[in-house]
Amino acid sequence: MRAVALIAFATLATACRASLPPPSLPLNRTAEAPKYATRPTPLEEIDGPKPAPIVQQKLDNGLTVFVVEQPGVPLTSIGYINRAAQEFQDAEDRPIGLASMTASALLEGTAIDEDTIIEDLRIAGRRPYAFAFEDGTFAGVTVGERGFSTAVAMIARMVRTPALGATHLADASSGVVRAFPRQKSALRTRMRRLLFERWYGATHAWALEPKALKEVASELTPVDIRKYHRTVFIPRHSAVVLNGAITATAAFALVERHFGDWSDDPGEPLRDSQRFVQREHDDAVTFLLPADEEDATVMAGFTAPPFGHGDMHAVHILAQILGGPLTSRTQVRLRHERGLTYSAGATYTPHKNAGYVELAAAVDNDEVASVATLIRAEVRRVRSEGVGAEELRAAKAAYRRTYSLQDPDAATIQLGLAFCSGRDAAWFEAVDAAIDAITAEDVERVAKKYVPEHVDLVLAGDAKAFDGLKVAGVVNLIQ
Amino acid sequence: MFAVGLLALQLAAPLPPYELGNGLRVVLHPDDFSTDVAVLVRYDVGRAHDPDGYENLAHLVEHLTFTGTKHLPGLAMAKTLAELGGDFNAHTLHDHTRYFVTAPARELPVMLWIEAERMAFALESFDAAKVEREIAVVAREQDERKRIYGPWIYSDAHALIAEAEYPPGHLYARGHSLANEADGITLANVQWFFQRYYRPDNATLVITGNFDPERARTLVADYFEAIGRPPAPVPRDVVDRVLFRGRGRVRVRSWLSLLPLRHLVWHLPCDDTEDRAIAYVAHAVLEHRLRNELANDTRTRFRLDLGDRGNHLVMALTLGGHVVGPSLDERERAVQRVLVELWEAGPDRAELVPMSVSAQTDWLLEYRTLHTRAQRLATSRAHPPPDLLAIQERMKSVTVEDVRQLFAHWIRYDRMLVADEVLELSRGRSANRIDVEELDDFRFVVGDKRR
Repeated sequence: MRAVALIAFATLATACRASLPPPSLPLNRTAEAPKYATRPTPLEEIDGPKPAPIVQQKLDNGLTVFVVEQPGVPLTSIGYINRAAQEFQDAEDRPIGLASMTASALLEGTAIDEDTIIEDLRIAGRRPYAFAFEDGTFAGVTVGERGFSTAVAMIARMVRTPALGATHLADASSGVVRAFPRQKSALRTRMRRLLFERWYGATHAWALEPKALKEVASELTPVDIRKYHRTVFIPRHSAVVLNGAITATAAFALVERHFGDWSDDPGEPLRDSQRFVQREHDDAVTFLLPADEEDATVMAGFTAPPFGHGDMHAVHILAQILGGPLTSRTQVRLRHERGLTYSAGATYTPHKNAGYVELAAAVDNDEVASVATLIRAEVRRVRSEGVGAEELRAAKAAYRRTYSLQDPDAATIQLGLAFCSGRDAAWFEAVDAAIDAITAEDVERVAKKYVPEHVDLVLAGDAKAFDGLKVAGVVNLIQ
Repeated sequence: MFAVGLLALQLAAPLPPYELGNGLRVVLHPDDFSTDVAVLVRYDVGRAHDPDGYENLAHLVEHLTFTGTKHLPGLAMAKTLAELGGDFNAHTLHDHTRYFVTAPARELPVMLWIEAERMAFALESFDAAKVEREIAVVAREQDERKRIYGPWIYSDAHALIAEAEYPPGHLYARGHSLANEADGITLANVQWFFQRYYRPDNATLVITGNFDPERARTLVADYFEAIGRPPAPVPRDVVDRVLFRGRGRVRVRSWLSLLPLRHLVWHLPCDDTEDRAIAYVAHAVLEHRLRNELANDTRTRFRLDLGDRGNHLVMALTLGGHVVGPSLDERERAVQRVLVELWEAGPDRAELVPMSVSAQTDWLLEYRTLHTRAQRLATSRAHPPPDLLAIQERMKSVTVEDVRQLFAHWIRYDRMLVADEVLELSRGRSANRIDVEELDDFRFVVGDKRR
């Protein structure tokens, strides 16, 4: 016998609501005391670990090595970074998906002794990762003390001698399939691409829509992947980062042992991609009509300088002021004052040759027009109004965390980003002081320089929201 | 073996927990690794405590505590936290709500001051306008969570399955819904709820990171000892451990179930160092075996989670993948083959060591991050904080037989709940519902811990 019960989901709850008791009085049961009325002073400086120095060396074959000693929990992060990635994909001989497929193929086995990464994993105890992004390709793993030597050897074999056979490629295509954004998270990526298309043209790598998985898998051959790997995965385009509970001496010795004999093949010079160009913005509104969204998203954006540019830190702080912490301007306007959104956020993404700032909020379809107006107004206001000391402190504090070396995985990514953009350890170690030195005037200057008077918007929502916007001059509708 | 110069330091164990005179439980876990300190306050109240018809009340109260207090009006608390230069956030979970902040170690007094302020002086600053506004914000948050996480992480389907894992009336059978039913909640409702649950004898304060324990004790006493508690005793939950007998099946109809997914759920009666250490290694073994078993089928995708619910663990396997490919039944049969091997023989000795290392590494990753370590230590007041180091140590000596026994007794086909997700797009969110098909021999068993 099979008993079947149907449980209705959240429909009758309100109808069944019984009265709750009133609160008891007095509401508060804690006596007032001076200690509660005044912010306490910080403790004296704690005698803790000092920020770990970054040690940088270059092997004879051109491979850059960064080591960060972090005494403590017995974990070490090993990361490999290659400067070539998706920016290579905008030419006819470099089809879209090549960098991602190659990164994914790194995980499918090595050519030495028919070995596989899975077998290495059995010794190291951890699964490695590999992915490509706009400025580079990352591969790495975090291991405990028992797996460290094996893990360095494993990463070396992964990047130097991947198998790249037809079977491996088929498996890799599955990995790419799995990595593609699914469901709701893809929406913002698509919206962002529409901004890039507007600024840089439809053929720019950032503006291209990822092809369907099937096409990626069917168009790329092992020959393509091997050629790409042979010409791009060479020491001079590469860096290794070791961060964690290991001495610099031991770390350099391990890297020398497993990467030192990597041939310095001349390879192929890295192609220069889109240089930063500050675009004219013209209050364009693009409306995306997704079929499966019950809520709307409002996104504003503008072009900004590339990684390492002299204005980079100030623009980061500007973005934090616009939409960083809970007390940022957009959060205050949209959430705290009006209850229109849960998270309105601004991020500045500086890539190797160009960057952008985006400000986005998820809202109800009924509120698209009003939120779009409010966001535009906030972006314009940051051009014209001064920056307060309080918001500057909060923005600096939030931004400074980005460069903390205490989380080895995050630090590996940050060092990798710096390497991809041609920066070194000295640049990284100067970041803290550079952030400290940013003044309200600096932020106001970059606001005037980069924030456009006319702000491009991409909106996504339902037909009702679109109808409400027609009168506001929507110029482009994408189904 | 190549010689490696390691800089690993001795991991520290938490100090024995203690209570203040007003009932606040305090857990201190100092170490020297970090320049930061984390403060976490856990209240033993969550979504499961929302009264019928007042869904999201617990979540709403969490939001309101950031909207101003007596001494930190308006956004002053949020601004102070933002300026500390660390992370801060709050989560309303199923059975508890937690507030945490991580900041440079010298800011410990400010962090404690803020949490004391929240506990003692937030209530009197709530007002009707704030309640109305935060109801809208909470609704937006619920919607955003569905958009961001999707079916593999958390969805209405997961919530409905969690309800089906417990008999009616059980604490864990309540409060999983992501429905937005906060409309109509009044200021008086919020005040009553806060008074009932936000009290020192219903809370646990955890401090982890770089701090001097004696200094911390003094600061905790300074800021928290004077916080009053209501005369009525705190409402305590009796949370029975619920295990399965037989194979249950449910079908979840959800507007978000775009691909066919099958969830296999096991409850494990693991609540001490010994059992937890074995379960973590078993989880790593099963994930490894599944990855190998399913490696030839590139169209199948899976996710294996091990959740901690205080007196038991929940192993949940989600199976899915391309529509074109093996059926869910075929995919499940592949899992069955793996499980039978593990029931009968346990893991290979050669695979046990790396999987134990893998589990230890996962554990250390949590330990290394201050706020995740604090979350582990902030258990319900019904349970002592776990001895993190003892679990780590025990994982090193888990045997093949330990793991085999765990599978043989608890991760079985006749002690499992199966949940299939079915798309019902036509009616939008109102389509979300669950059909419970209780197979003949399926029943809940309360309190069994025999292995």
